[in-house]
This record gives sequence, structure tokens and C-alpha cells, in this order.
Amino acid sequence: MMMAASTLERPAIFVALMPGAPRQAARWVEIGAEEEGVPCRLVELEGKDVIDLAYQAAMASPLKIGVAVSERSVVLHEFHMPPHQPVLVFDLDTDTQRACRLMGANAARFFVRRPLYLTPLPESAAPVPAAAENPQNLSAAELRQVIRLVVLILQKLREREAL
Amino acid sequence: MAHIIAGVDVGNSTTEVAIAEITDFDRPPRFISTSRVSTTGIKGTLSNLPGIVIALREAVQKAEIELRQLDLVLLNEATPVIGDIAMETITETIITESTMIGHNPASPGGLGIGVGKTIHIKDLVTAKRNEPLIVVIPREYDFELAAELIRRALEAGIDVRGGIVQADDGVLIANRLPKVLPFVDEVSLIEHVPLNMLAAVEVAEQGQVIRQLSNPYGIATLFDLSPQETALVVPIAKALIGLRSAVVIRTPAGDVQTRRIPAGTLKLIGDVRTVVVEVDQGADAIMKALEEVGKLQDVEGEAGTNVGGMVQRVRQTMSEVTEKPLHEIKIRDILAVDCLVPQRVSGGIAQEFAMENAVGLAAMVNTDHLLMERVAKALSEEIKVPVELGGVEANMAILGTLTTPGIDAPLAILDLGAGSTDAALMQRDRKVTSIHLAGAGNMVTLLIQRELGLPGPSDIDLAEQIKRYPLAKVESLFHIRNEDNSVRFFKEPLDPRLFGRVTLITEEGLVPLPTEHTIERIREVRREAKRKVFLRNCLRALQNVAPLGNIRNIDFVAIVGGSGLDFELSQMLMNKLAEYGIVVGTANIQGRLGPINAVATGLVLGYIERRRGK
Repeated sequence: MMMAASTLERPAIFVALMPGAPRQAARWVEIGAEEEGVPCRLVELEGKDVIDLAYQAAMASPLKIGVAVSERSVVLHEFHMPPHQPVLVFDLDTDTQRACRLMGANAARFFVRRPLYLTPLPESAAPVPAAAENPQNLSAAELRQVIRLVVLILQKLREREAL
Repeated sequence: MAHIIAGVDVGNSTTEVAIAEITDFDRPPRFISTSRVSTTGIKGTLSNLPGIVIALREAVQKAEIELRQLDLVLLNEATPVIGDIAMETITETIITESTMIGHNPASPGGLGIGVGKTIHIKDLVTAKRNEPLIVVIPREYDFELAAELIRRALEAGIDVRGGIVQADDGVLIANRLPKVLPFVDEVSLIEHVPLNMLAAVEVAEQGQVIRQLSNPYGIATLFDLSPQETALVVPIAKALIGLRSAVVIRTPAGDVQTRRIPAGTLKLIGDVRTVVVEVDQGADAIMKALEEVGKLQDVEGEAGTNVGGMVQRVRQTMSEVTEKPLHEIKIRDILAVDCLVPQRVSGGIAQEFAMENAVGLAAMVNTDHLLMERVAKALSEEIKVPVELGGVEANMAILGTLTTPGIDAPLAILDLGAGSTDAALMQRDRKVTSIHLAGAGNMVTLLIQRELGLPGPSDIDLAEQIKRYPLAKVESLFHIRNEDNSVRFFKEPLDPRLFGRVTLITEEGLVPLPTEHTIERIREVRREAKRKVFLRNCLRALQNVAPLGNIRNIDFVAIVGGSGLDFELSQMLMNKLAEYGIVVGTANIQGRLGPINAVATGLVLGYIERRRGK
């Protein structure tokens, strides 16, 4: 309702929903992009799966960036990428609202070329070695090792769920 | 009968070995292997042994011989100098009561300047009309609720002028209001924001920086300050320069001050005269004083001041290393460098930083021969091979450098190491003259680390890496932009973790830097650090060894040492020295090793020369 009819012509990131996606998902993606200052809007598209849908959204978007949400994950795609290889995938198992909002922010950041949020987890758990707290007094090398392991485990878990 | 001998050069940062086979002392030797490993411990101490042994093992392995087949090991003679570096800030900003949020969130909301009393959002409904207000919005109020409350308050005639937000919601709130108001967001410690105090919020347009709050008279205008009070807010304004958004809150007891730490004086004792110089006059004044005193005999720092502490620490370290009593440690050279370092403001709310003046100091202490003799003796016992000290380091470096194709005397060399910058001059039929100066690669690393505010000494390797590798910005998943603005494309998409980041281009690929600095800033700091240390020291060193003290009397300079491998340093030197009509080239030891291994190679050649003389 906030968008006038003329916005159809405006460049925007496109967001599309798979059947069964959470009802509010598109709105949270839009809000994430809005905070970063890039327009984003919901479009009606169809895809074989959520990755394909994200790719379709990216192809259709004037900014060539698309986001798709399914029941289980939210996917960021960009039209230069191989269709089967999205830029980022977040699972929706912990905090749907946060994951969608951050992916919307990521879509916008992708356009303005700022570093992406790499995980939907709260900041403190994100793998940012320099900023992270270090209660164990680990050396920088040990810390990197731990972070690498955690990231690997998260990736594996994600892959397993996606398959 | 063939001799196999090894030259070993223990440097501040690396230990290098050259192994050669000698059949006849009248013929050049055949170099069969070299190696280069990290030095263990401080140069000139027994803790160097493990590194030396590793380097020797590596070299004999490459030569496919056994350690015991070596007939002789030659060690570089008594490290004439060891250096130390230190840095102290000479100003500090202290806020005795939190009065400022100088803060650069990625996306503050709205635009403009708002001044009013701080009020919690829950109290907005009961607020008085006609009183300007700044709303404080904790995380529990999501952007829709917050925007709705503020919108209603505005409709009811309550004069909201701006807001301070805990969550990353500034844009979302500002977009949902009927008028444009400034909102600073991501203020994590919002509970520390005092309520019912006069505050000013400023948000600049995208791509711009705040003007009013970074100007002391701007703050004075907003808060109606007296000249005395205005003097007090200068440090706040200073700390807010260059930000896109900021909040300044006026608390009655609030007091911000720049404390000038007494930086103290340095007493430079030379053989000609003694000069006392104020450290806060800056590096140039110190270096100028240094030129006036003649040959430096020792340096004293004023007791009870920062520089006094610094000089004392250098002396302490050196005393421990050399096992000489404190009063026998004499500082024979210093290099002072000015810099601006980010320091956390004591008492800020959102972890504000202010740029403070600092002085970096590299000092050099003469040691004696006994030290290296001890290392030689211990090494000999360890590897069961005779070990000798092989002659003055500078002479050896020249001999090694002369193995570079196309090179000939007269020649000056610049040995750019980690701990010291050395120069030596070789003229036909004259003694080699040489000099060792404080400050080299390690000093550059320290400057980079401090000026970019990189995490402490444990992470010094990050600064070290920045020193060594060129930068690039990852602009899309398929291309990067190098620091010289050229673009490189990739066939396969890059890791999304690299996206939008400034990275180093290393042998192992792109390494993202965990800092917010722009590529231009990092590059500037890196090049400036190299300029301040190496360019200055190279000029000082060449002037010192030049015939008649005139640098123009030198025609050819060869660069050796680890820093000679630096990807930009030799170019920077060539440009600078061209002004004096000097031709500069990087040495290529043994015609294949580049600028490294000069001393180790020279040790072997020097030995042959000595034997031939007999």
C-alpha cells in the first residue's frame, strides 16, 4: 500500500515466495533492504525450487538481484552466478524474521557493495575473529582454527538439511 | 681436496645460510645450496641456536650431504647493533562523564540536526508540548511501534527533534514519520544515555560528514556555551570529525578534556655537543637535533615522563639480552617518527575513538663481540663442526653483493633488514665504510599496526601482512579492483565472505582484512610508514658513508636484505634517490637469489680471500 503504481518502473531487488513460505517473509526481506536504503518488492514468479525461484527473481529484477523464500530457507541470488549456485542461503529454523531481514539487508548490500552478513545468528556468534570476545585466552591462530571448525560444522549442517 | 663450508648470517628476522664447495682458493667457490628460516630469539643470543641448526639442516639437505660433512661454519661477526622500538601517545582524550556518542553506524536514519532534551520513548505521551525533545529508543520498541508512537506524539503537538536508537532501525523509523528527523542508531549501550539532558543529534547526507557537531563553535551555538565551556568541548568536536552521524549530550557535571601527557624531553649526548629536545615538538625536531650532536654517544629520557619510560624500557630489554649492567647500555642511534593513532576515548558511550598524537622511537644499542663468540662456541658443540666468526658484517655484505651480475665497485649498498637499516660504501683500494641505523621493517610494521588501530601485539602479523602484500577490493563475486584501480576478473565466483571487503593479494589467494578502513586509507598508511622509516633512514645512511658526506658523490646503490623483497619499496627508493643522481638497483646475489643471502654468501667469499692471502 506504501508503493504507488509507478514503482513498477523503479529499479528494485525482487523477492519471490515458494508455496508454503512464511506469510510475513517477503515483508521482512523488504524491511531489511529498506534499512540499507535499496528498494525491494514482491513479485509473482514460479520456480522448480527455491534456488531456481531466486534465480528467476534475479533475472527479472532490474538490479539483477533476487531473493526467494521457501518454508525452510531464504536464498540470495544474482544473475551472474551459475543458476544452481546461489550467493547465500540461510535456514529458517531458528529465527525466521531475523534470517529474512538479514537476507534483505544482504541483497541491498550486494547492490551497494558492502560486506554481507554471513550467518543469520546473532552477532556474538558470527565468525568475526577480530571483534569476537575471547574468554579462553586463545591465541589468534587457535581462535582462527576454532572459528574455521565452527563455520565448517554450520555449513555441513546446512547442506544436510538442504539435501 | 674439496672443502665444504657454510656461511651463516643471523639477522633480526631471518637466519640465512650459504653452503659452498671450495676446490682451490684461487678459484671462485661453487655454491651448492642456500636456506632462509626465521631467527629464533633476539639476534646475538644463545636462543638463536635452534634457528641456526634448522637453517643448516635445511641447507645440507638441499645439497644432499650430511651436517658432519661440513668442514667449517662461518658465523657473521658480533652483531654490532640490536634495535628496539616503542611508541607512546603524547595526548589523550578523557571524558569524565559520558557526554558524547560519536558513532558511525552504517545506516543512520533521516537527516539534519535536532536539539532537545532526552526522553525515554515510553514517556513521550505525557511529555510537555513546545519543549524540543530527543527520543531515546531501546531495542524492545521495534521500528513500527517506535514510529507509531513518535508519529502520534508529533500529531499531538509534541516537539520531537530527533532520536537515539539502540537497534539497527534508524532508517526504518525515519522513513515512517511525516517529517524528516535525524536518528542515530546502533547505540549498543543505550542505557548509559542520560535522560532529561540537553542533547544534539546530527545526521549528514549520504556521502557527507557531519559539520555542526565536529565544530567546537557549532556545539557552542547549539548549546549556548560560554568561551570557557567551548574550550572544554574541543576534544569532543575533534573526536567527531569525519563521521556521518553523532550525538552530543550536555550533562551538568560533564567534563571532557584533552590531557596533554607530559611527553618529556630527550637528551641527546653526542661527541660534539649535547642537545635537549622536547619530544612534543615532533620527530623532525628530534632528528634535526640528532644531526647537531655529531656522533651519538647515548640518549637519556626525562625521568617521570613517557619518553623517559620508553628509553628506560629499551635499556632494560637490551640489558637483559646482552647481560650487561643497565648503565653500560649506550644508545647509538635513534629514529623518531610522528604518527596519529586512534585511541579509545575513556568514558565514551559507543566505543568512540579519537586520533591522538604519538611518537614512535627506534633505538639502537651497540653490543660487543663476546656475545657472538658465545653463540659460535655453543653452535660448535651442538653440531660437532668447527665454527668461526667470519669478519665485519658490512664487508661481508659487500662481498656477497658483488656476486650480482653486472655490478662493480665503487658501490654503496643499502641493507634493509627488519631491525636496522645499514649502509656500506666500497671504493677501489679503500677501506669499506659502513653505518648501522635504528629503524627498519619492524618499525614499519609497528607504525601500520598503531595507525590503523589493529588489534594488539598478538596480532602483529596482520600489520606485517599489510606491509607485505598489495590490496584489492572485492567489487563483485567475479571481479576485484586492485589498489592501482585496475580490474581483474575471475572465472569462478569468489567466496561470498570476501564480497565488499578490502583484501590482501597473497600467494595463498585473497585474504579479507577484518577492518573498516577504506583501501585508500590502508594504502596511504602503509606507504607513509615505509616512507617515514626507510626513505628517511636510507638518506641518513647514505649521507653518512658518502665521500665528503655528500650523497651526490655516490653513483650506484644496490639494495640487499629482506625488505629488498618488498613489492614497492625499491621503486619508492629509486624515485627518491634519482633526485640525487643515484642509480639504484636490487641486488641479485649469486645471480639467482635476489636481494637476500648477501652476508652468508659474503662470509664464504671472505674466508677464501683470507686464505688466499696466506
